[in-house]
Amino acid sequence: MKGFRKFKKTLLPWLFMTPAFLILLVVLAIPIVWTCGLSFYDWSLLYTTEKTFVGFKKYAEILTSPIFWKSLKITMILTVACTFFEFIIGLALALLLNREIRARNIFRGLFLIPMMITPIVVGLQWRWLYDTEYGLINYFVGMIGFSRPNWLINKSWVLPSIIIAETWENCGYVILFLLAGLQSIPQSLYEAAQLDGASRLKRLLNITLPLLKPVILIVLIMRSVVSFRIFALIYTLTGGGPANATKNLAMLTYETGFSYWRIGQAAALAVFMMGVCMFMGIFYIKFIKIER
Amino acid sequence: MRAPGKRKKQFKVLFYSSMIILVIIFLFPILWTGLTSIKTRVDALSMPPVWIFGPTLKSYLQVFARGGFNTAYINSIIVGIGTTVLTVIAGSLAGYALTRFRFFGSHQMPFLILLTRMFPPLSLAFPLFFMFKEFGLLDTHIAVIISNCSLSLPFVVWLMWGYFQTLPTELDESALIDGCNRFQVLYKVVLPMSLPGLVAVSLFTFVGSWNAFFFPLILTRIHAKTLPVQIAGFVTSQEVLWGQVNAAAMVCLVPAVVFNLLAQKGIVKGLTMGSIK
Repeated sequence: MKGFRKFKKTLLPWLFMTPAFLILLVVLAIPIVWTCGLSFYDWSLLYTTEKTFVGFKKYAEILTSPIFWKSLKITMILTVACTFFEFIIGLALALLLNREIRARNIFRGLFLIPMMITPIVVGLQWRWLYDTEYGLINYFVGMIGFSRPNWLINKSWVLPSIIIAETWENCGYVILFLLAGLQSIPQSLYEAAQLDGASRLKRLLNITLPLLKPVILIVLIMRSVVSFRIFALIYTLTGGGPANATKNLAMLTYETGFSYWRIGQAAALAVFMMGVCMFMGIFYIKFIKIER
Repeated sequence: MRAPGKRKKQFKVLFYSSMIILVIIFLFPILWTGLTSIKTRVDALSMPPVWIFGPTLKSYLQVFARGGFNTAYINSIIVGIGTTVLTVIAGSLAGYALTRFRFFGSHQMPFLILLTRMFPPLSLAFPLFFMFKEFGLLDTHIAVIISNCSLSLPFVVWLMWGYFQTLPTELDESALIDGCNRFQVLYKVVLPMSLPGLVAVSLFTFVGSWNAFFFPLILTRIHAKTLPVQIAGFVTSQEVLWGQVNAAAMVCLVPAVVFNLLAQKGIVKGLTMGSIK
C-alpha cells in the first residue's frame, strides 16, 4: 500500500505532462528525427519512389551546389540587415516611449500593431505599396523627381525592399523587449547621474545600455533566428525571384521539397537550417537563464 | 517665471505633434490598405492617388462572394479554436506540473521547451506531410490543428508556467487538505484564479493559429484551406485585383490586431520570456 502511494506520487506529475508530451512527440520529436533520417536517402517523388540510402551524399550535393551558397549569402544578408535595422529603430522608439509622456500605453500599442498582423497580409500590403505603376511609394518617389524603380523586379532593389517590409513588421518585438527592460532600470541611477552633471548621451552610454545588455543580447538572438527563416513575407512579395535574388534558405528548402519533390535534398537543407537555429537557440537560452 | 513655462508648453505641443506624425507614417501601410479597400476600382488605380473619394464596400462584397473565401474564413476560425483548446488544456496541465511538482527534468524542461520555438517550421514539414498523408488526413482541419500545436504549445506551456508561478502554493495546499485531488485543485482553484491569464493566452494562441501560414500551405488543398493561404492565392493570378486583395487583407488583419491588443496586457511578461524581472 505504501509502495503504491509512492508510485502514485512519482507518477502524478507525469500524468499532468502526458498530453503535452504526446503532442510534442508527434509534432516535434518524431518529425525532427524523421527529417534527419530522410536527409540520408536519395528520394525523389517525381522520378522514382524507390528510396535508397546514400549516407552523407545529399549534404555533399548541397555543399557543392552554387544555388545553396547563393541562397546562404542572401539569408545572411537578410538576417544581419533585418536584425540590425529592427534593433536600431526599435531601440530609438523604445527610448522615445520610455519618456514621461502622456498616453504612453496607447502610443506603445500603436507601434506594436505591425507585428500583430498576419505576415501574409504584410507581404500583400507592401506589394501594393511597391507596385511600380500604382504603388504609393513610387508616387512619392516620382514626386521628388527621381526615376521610379521596379522595387520587386529590379535585382538591386529587391533585397532592400524585403528588408524594409520585414523591419517594419518586426521592430515592435524589439520595442516590447527593450521597453520592458528600460522600465526595470531604477530611476535613482539617472537622478544620481544628473546630479553629477552627466549629459543625456552619457547617461545613455554609461547607464542605460550597460544595464540593458542582457535584454539586448536576448532580443538580438531572437530576431536573428526569426530573420534567418523568413518565409511568408518573401513568398508573397517575390516568391524568391527575380532570378533567385530573394531565394533564402527557407524558400530554397520549400521549393526543393514541395515543388521539385526532392525529399532527401530538402531534408538535408532543413537539417542545416535546424542546426543553425539550434546553435543560436542555445545561446538564447543561456542568456535568458542568466537574466532570470 | 512665465517664459520657461511657455517654452515647456511649446516643447510639449511640438513633441506630441511629432509623435502623432511619426505614428501616422509608421502605420501608413495599414491606413493605405484600409483606404484602398473602400475605393472603387477606378479610384484605387488612379495616379496621382485620390485622397477624398466616395467610399464603397463593393470590394468586401466581392471578396465574400468569391468562391472559397467564406469556407476559408470558417476554416480559420475552426482551426483557431481547435488549436487554442488543445494547447491551452495540454499547456495548463504541463505548466501546473512544472510549477507544483519536482520531478526528473522539471527545472530544465521550460527552457528546453523554449528552445523548441527556435525550430524552423520547415524542418518539421516533410514528416508531418507524410504522416498526415499516411493517415489520410491531408486537407483536414485536424492536420492543421495538430501541426499548429508544434508552434503554439511550447509557448503556452512557457506562459502558463510563468503565470502559475505567481500564484501562491498555499491555496493548493489548503484545497488538498479540504479533500481535493490534484486535478480538482487545478480546475477548481488554480484555473479560476488564472482566468485573466487564461483569456490572454487563449486569445494569443488563437491569433497565432489565425496568422499561421506555412503548415496550412503545405497541408491543405481545397477543403481545409485557411484564410492566409486563400488570400496568398489572390495575387498569383495574372491580373491582381487590388481592391479585393486589400479588402481581404483588412478582413484578415482586423481580428488579429484586435485580439492581440486585448491579449497584450496579460502576457507581456511571458512574451519577453520573463527576461525582465
